[in-house]
Amino acid sequence: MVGLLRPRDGELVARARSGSRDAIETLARRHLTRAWRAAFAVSGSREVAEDCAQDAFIDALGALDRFDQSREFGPWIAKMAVNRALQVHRRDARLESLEDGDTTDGTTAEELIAVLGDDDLSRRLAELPPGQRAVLVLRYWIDLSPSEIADALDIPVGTVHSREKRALDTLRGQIGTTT
Amino acid sequence: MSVIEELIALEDRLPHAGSAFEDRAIAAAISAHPPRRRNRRRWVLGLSLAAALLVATVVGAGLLRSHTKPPPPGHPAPAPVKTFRHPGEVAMPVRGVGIVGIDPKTGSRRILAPCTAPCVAVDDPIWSANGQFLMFREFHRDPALKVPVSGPYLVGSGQAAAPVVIPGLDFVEFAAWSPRDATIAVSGGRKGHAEIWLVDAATLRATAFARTIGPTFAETMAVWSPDGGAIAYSVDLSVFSGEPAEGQVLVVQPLDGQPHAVTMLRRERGAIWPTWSPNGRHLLANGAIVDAQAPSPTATPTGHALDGAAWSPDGTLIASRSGPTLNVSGPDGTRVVTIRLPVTWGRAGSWPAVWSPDGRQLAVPTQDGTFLVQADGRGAPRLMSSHDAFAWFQRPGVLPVMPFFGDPQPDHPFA
Repeated sequence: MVGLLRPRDGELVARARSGSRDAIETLARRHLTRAWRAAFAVSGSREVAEDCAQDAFIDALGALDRFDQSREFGPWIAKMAVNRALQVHRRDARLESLEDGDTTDGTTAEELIAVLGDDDLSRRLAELPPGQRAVLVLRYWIDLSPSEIADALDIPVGTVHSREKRALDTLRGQIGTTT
Repeated sequence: MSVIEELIALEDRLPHAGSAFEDRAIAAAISAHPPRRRNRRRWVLGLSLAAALLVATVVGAGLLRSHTKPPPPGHPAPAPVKTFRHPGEVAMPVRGVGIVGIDPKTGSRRILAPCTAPCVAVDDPIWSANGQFLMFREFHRDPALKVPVSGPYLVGSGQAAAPVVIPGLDFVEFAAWSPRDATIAVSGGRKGHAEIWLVDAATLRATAFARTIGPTFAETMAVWSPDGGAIAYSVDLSVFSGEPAEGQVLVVQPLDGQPHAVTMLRRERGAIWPTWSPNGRHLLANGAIVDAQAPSPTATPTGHALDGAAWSPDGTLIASRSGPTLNVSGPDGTRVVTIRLPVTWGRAGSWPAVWSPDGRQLAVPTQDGTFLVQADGRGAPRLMSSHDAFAWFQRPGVLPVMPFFGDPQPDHPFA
C-alpha cells in the first residue's frame, strides 16, 4: 500500500494522543515550518510568526481528539497559525482599521520583502492588507478551499472570494501578468 | 507564468523556520501537554545520550556502531525450503478470513494465513523475492494504546504464520524483503536508538545489523540496494547541534563490509529515506546524489529538494513531489517537466510517484486517489483509482508496521 510508505499524520496523531513524544516531535518537524511560513507571510514578522506557529501547535496538541484522522495535520495547524497572525494584527492599534481586511493601512511588511526579495510581486504581496494576504496564503500555499478558508477565518465564503479577487487583481494589475 | 503560479512559487523563497524555533515549540508543546511518564523517561534518556554524543564530537561513521554478526559457528545449514507461492498467485487480505491466495487465471483460491482470534485483521501481504515466504501484518488491540496495533508476520509452505520478534525492541516501523533471498530487514527502535535487524524467514533468527545513536523520532527505514548486497539508511545529526545545517548522515552499509557514512546537508530536519538508482550505483537522498560505489562517497546537491523522489526505470529521470506539484527532472537537477495535479495541498500527500515499467507514465498517489500522468507532461492528469493500491509499487517488499488508528478495513471484503 503506497499510502503507508511514510507514517500518516493520522497514525502519528494516534501515537501522540497515547503519549508518544516521538510522534509529537515528528509532527512538529514535519509541519511547523509550513505553519511558520504561512504566519510569517500574513504577519510580516518572524517574531510574530514564531509565536503564532508555536501557539497553533500547542493548541493542536490540546485538540487532537477533534482532529479528523483522514486529513493531514499540516494544513490544520497552518490555518490556526494564520488565524492567530490575523488576531495579532487586529490587536495592533495601527491596524484596527483593517478589521474587514479590505483596506490597506499604507504600511508594507518590509521584513517579508527582505526575505522574499524586492521584486514587484513580493512588494505587491507585502503591501496587501493582512486579511487579503491570509486568504491568498491559505488558498494557494496551504491549498484550502474557499469554504475551508471561510471556516478558518470566520468570515463568509463571499468575503473569501472578494478578498481573493481583489488581491489577485492587485497583484495582476500592477505587475502586468495574466492569470 | 501566471500570477497564481508566481505566487505559489514565492513560498519556496521563505526559509526554514529554524531548528532552534522548532525545539522551543516542541518543548513548549510538551510542557503544555506532557506525555505519559514512560515517554518522559525516554526523553530524559535521549537528552543524556545527546549530551554524551556532543562531548564525543559525533561526525560521520563515528556516530554509528555496526553490529553485523555472522551466524554462530557450527549452526546447521537450513533445510531446503519449498516454494510457497504458486506461479502468478496473488495474495490479498480478505476481511474475516485472512490472507487469501488467488490464481488470476483459474480463479482458484486458498487460504495462505488465516486470521484467527485474537487477530483483528490482516493486511499488506508481500511475497519474498524467491516466493518461499509471505510477509504480512496482523492487527491486535493494544489495551494500553486503546488502538489496534500491528506487527509483521511470516508464513511459508507447511508452516503456520509466526510473528517476527526482535527481543527488546520497543517498536518496529518497517520490514523490507531483500530483493534476492528470504531475508527481511526490520527497522525499529529502543531507548533512544534506531536499529536495523536482519531476520532469516526460514528460521526467524534475528541478527543485529546496525544501531544508530540518534533520536527515536527519526523514521529510520532500511532500504535494500537493488542487488540485495547493501542497505542504506539515514541518521539525523541536527538534533545534537540544534542547527539544521548539520544535516544528516546517510549510511551505505554492505552486508559483508564496513559502513560508509556520507554527510548530507539538509534544509529540514527529520529522517530521510534514500532511494537507490535502478543500477545500484547512486543514491538519491535529501536532494543530493551520492555515488554509492565511490571509495569515499560524497553528496552532490542537485539544487532541488526532491521530496518523495522516484527514479525512472532506466535511471535517467527523477520524479519528485511538492504537494500537488510533480516535477520530473534529470539527476543533475535540470528541471524538465512540472505537472500540477488537480488536488489541494491538504489532500496531496507526499508519497513518491511510481513509474510505469516503460518509464512513460507515472502513478501519483494522493488522498483523493491515484492520478495517472504522462512523464513528458502531455495531457491532463487522469484519476486512475480512488484507492491507494496499484501494481507499480515503487518499493517492492516494504511492509509498514506502525500503530494504526481506527479499525483496519482491508480493501477486499469478499470471501
